[in-house]
Amino acid sequence: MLLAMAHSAPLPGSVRPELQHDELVRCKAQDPVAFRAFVVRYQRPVFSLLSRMLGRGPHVEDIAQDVFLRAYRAFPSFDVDRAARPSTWLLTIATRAALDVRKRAVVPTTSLEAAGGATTGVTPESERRRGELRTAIAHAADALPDDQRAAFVLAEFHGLTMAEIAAVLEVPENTVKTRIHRARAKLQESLVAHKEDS
Amino acid sequence: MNEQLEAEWDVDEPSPEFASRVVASAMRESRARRTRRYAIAGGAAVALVAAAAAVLVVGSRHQPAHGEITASTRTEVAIGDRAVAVLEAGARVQWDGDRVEQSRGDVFYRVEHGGAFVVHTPSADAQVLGTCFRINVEQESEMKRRDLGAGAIGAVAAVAVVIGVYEGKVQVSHADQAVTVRAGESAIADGSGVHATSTTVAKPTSAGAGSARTEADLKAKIADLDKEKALLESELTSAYDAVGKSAFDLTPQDWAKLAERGEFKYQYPCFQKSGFRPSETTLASMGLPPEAADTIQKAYANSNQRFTNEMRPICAEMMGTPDFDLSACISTLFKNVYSGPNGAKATFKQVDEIRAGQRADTDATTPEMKMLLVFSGGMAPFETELAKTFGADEAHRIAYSNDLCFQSQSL
Repeated sequence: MLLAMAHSAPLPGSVRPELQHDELVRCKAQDPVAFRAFVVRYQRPVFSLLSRMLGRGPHVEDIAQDVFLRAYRAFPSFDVDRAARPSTWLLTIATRAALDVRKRAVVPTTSLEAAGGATTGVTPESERRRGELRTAIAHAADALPDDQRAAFVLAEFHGLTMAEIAAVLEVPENTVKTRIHRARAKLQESLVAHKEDS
Repeated sequence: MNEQLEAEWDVDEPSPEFASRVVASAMRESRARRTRRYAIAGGAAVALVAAAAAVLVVGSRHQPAHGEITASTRTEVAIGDRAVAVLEAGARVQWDGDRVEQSRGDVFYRVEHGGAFVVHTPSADAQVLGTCFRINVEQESEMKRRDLGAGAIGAVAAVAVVIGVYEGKVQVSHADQAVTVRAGESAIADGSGVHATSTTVAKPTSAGAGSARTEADLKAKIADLDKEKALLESELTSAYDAVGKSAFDLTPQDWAKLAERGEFKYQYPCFQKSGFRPSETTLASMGLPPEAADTIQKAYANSNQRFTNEMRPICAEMMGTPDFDLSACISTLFKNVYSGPNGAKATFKQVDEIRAGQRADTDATTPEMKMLLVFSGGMAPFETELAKTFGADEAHRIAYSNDLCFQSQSL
């Protein structure tokens, strides 16, 4: 877990601007160099979204690859001047891919072992508590319905607006608000319960 | 709650090879698609000849077969049905079928496979069958040209054209010269001829002609080389995958290259609850007997312990107390690396140089540098321990196997 925690430090890609317009234009023309820059820029948000939608595991990389290949195929029709932000566009593709996978139920639910984080066996008490907290979060998130989880993850971790989430999930904005509210309440409840238990 | 969730709701990280794998898949898919189209076109050629005229007349879905455009901003335009051009501001092209006249500016082309597609420029013609390339025509103006042989700078009226190729190959012709420019290469054509940067020149140029370069030529060349470098690095990572050499199996020369770029890599045996132990299936796939699990598990446990032992004094120094949360300390140190006055690259460079043998370990004077040495120093003792049981070569293979569990990162 120590190394996993290190990864949560502000590494490149955690808070970065969108890919520049000229790179996007070259992506649209399917320029491989520009497309590689696109993948490098957006791979972490995609992995993050898929991990939180589907649970961690080797399937995340497989589906992430499929997401980027879908984007590559769709790039010629992507309007770099008027369309959504590229991150929103890509997260739309990723969210729909994740929801498809959940519908087909081809991915095991979150590995609680993985969600709890790896420990060395020599870690201090705070590490153990942290592992338990992660497990509690994974339990609570896994219990959320897919539509609530998607809305919550897009809003809380990827900064999409209500209108953008509504477009991604193809539901009215009020429905998005309701889903986020319910997801937040359930997670809050789980975290409070965990705190009281520990 | 959100901050707590963000911190504790763990996510998977992309592997360092992920982007290269995706791009390689996209390229394979793209090539396969073009090949299929080409095969279909060849097989149905006779039938299509009869239908072609009708399609050209009534085919409203097709792009205009001829046209012209001068871009005031970056503009994308379809040239017929098989090419897309992206014009930078100021570029001008006109086209008729598969013949394009580019009189000025910088244009990127992507051309699907088919017959000859020709771009005429004031200084050269570029002919392709299907590829991805870029042509930059210098404005007709007086350009300063340095004669390297004479050491003089003169002004001449000329047009220079830079051709960079991303995929496939392009034949660039000028008067009686012809140069084949392949993927990752570029060529420059101007009044004195065509100068390949690293290409096969069909006919030799006149003495001294290849040495003339303008400032704009050189800038364009550098830009092309940067792109070429990115492609080659991507290919190199794929090549590592192909031959089984890990991208994290770094020699002192590799570290020296990372130092030049201010980048950093680390790989470390992963931490797992109760320690990592490979399954019998994993061992079988690696060609190892089941009893190898004990040795490997022990090596992981020792590695994890070593990591903790090495990090603790660094954190104690940084926190000023022996009572601290190791994970929080590591997080803080990484934040410091990125927020330091000289940026992460400066820190990475110094640690890379230590790993390259260009500096002494004692040059790691800050807790951040010491931490990076710990992160990048875990594989050697791990491998040494495995070598006691498996021998050096086998230990190296096991230590960098994709089948085992490692934390790897390219920064």
